[in-house]
Amino acid sequence: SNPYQTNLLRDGVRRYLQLPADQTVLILHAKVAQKSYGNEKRFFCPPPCVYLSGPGWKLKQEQMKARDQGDAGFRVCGYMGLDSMGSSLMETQKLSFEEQPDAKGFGCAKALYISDTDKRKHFRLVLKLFFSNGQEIGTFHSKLIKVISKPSQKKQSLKNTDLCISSGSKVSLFNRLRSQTVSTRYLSVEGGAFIASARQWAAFTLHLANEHCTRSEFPLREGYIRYGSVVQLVCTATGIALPPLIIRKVMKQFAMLDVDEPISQLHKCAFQFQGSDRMYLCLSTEKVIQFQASPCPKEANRELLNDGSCWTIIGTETVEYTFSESLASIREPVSPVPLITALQLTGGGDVAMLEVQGEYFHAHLKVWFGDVEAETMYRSPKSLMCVVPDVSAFSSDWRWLRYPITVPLLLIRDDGLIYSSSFTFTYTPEQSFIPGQQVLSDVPQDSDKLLDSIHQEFTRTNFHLFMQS
Amino acid sequence: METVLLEHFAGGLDSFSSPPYFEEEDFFPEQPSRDSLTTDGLLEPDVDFLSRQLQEYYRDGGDLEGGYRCPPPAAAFPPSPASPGFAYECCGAAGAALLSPGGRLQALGSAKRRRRVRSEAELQQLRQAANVRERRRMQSINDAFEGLRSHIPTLPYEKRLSKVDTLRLAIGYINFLSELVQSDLPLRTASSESPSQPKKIIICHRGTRSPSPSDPDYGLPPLAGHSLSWTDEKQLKEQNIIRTAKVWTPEDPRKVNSKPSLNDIENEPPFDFVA
Repeated sequence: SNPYQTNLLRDGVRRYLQLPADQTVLILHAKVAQKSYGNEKRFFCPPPCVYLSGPGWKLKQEQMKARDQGDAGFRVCGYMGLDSMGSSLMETQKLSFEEQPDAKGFGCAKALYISDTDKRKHFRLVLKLFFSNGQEIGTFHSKLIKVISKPSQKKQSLKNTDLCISSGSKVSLFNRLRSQTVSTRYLSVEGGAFIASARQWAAFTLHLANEHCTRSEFPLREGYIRYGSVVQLVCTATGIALPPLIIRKVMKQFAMLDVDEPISQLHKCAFQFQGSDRMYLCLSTEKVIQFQASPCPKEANRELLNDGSCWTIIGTETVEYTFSESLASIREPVSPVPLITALQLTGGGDVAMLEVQGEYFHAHLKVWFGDVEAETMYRSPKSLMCVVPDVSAFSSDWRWLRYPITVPLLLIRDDGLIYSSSFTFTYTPEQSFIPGQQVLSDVPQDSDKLLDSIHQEFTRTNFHLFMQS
Repeated sequence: METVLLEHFAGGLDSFSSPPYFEEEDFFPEQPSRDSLTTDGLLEPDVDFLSRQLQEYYRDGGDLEGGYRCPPPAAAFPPSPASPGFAYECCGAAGAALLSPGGRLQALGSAKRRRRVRSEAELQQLRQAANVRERRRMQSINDAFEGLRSHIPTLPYEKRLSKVDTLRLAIGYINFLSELVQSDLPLRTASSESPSQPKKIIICHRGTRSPSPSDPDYGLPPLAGHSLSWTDEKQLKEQNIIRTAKVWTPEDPRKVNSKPSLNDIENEPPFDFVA
């Protein structure tokens, strides 16, 4: 491409960075799905749901309106189904998005299931989004979902942690009467309070809590969650938490006080408020309250619960796709939308390389550091390699500045489609050549000055030594 | 970029030139600085090694008159890089080695004195022995450079510093250290970096230009470069959410009011998820 186009693109990226008009597709779903046998339809629970957020949606709709597409043309609709391998009989379900108070579009697929004729151990959900005029937006995949036949009755072994739930992972909790789908209520947060919603569910980060720490300050602990552990449930969307709870195994409506095995997917459990007198987390229609369990006179190791205090626990996943069409009027679908999961720096000295690791990469992507395009090499759908731009590429002044500079990392497709990421890249000024000799504040000023002057002299007179011949 | 690649390749050639049998460490006791070309004979391990090579050669069916199992001498070892004495040394060395496999080679022992009667195959053996010794010599030099590299404060180059650059930098560093000693500064900073920290990746600011008064940072110690790092803002945000979470405590209906809102579900029979 010619320099004019390059500058045009760079200007466009600058404008984008000032006001990112992103469109985000967030898919929430469970980590495991129970198989349906014969004619039964065991709908995925909690139901996979989709949130559309970001100012880009509105912008796009205005653009379409302006192009005389009629009012109905810009409504978003979607279809969700299983990624059945080549099967055309794949049952998809239409999603319609209702606008929520926070300007997010929300849709959920309540009637998806996996039949026992599908022999796979894992699958993905596929979401196809369209504008109501038929223009395709793109195809989006969930994370892998494990197929199970039924909740494990066996004691979980830490040698096979497939079904275990680790501290710091996300879970959903739901309560269901007599296995009736219609009675299902999900633990959720609305208006700053926990509720038992029949409509929407929230993902909670489940942590092992440190018993000795103060409230609202949870040092993160690692490991798998076991019955009897003190845990903390924090809503991933709102950051609201419940008080420390002891997680208990539930057997026939009894909370088992002496079981300490690892918890497993789709187990039924109860949450006892730590330090309370047999008080448990409970729902009462839509409300979440405390419930006092009854002691069992004959068996000190169990307490009798009510229906509302028995919860089913299941691990959940989220996957978020972000793109912006602000730089180009794009007719092509935005998918595959690349996802960055990790970065790996190598090199140093003259050149440093950054490996971008993730999913759905292809050869038409370039890595951008802020408004600077990096020389990018496509290696595989999971790896891109790029050359880290020199700090002077951002502005010639930056070479002199004495404070760290942070820029966002973007991927940009050939046609100008921008995929933002949650990663940022930082350049920190270094004063000395010798690692460990830079900027120490605990040393008297005088000796610092002296050392600096020696360094200065050394580097100035010996700069050529660091240039490789 | 191109020079980087070329340099890298050149460095790689060093390692390629070592034939597989060089990996048998036990042939080479740790005497990296030994330079056999300047000594007046072979050390014991060399003799053992060469005789082993020869034994293998014979066992494999090659004989002195046999075909060219090895490449022609000229290709195997380019025109002797060393002094005329080098060739002589080589022959002597190989000759000594040839004695070992047994009486069968006894006659070759006199080759040292009557060089003209050497057969082609014999020359080949000598050449092979010389190649081995030359590779070994290079290996010991490379090892020594590796040792030197580990002692000088090189920048975290992705590629290895070349030999000449290593020497230059070492000289510069020694000068620098003597300056430090003479100026009597406390050596406080050398090990301030904890080993658990990932290695810092720094891009250096190159430029032979000296600071000019028009530079914004004129008079300040020059920046060596910028260290690079990255952050996953989403992960950071999630951790912050957890750290700053507000705790919501559900009400205890017994205390707030007496309305038994639990009754609706309290009387339901136990439910079973896998029914």
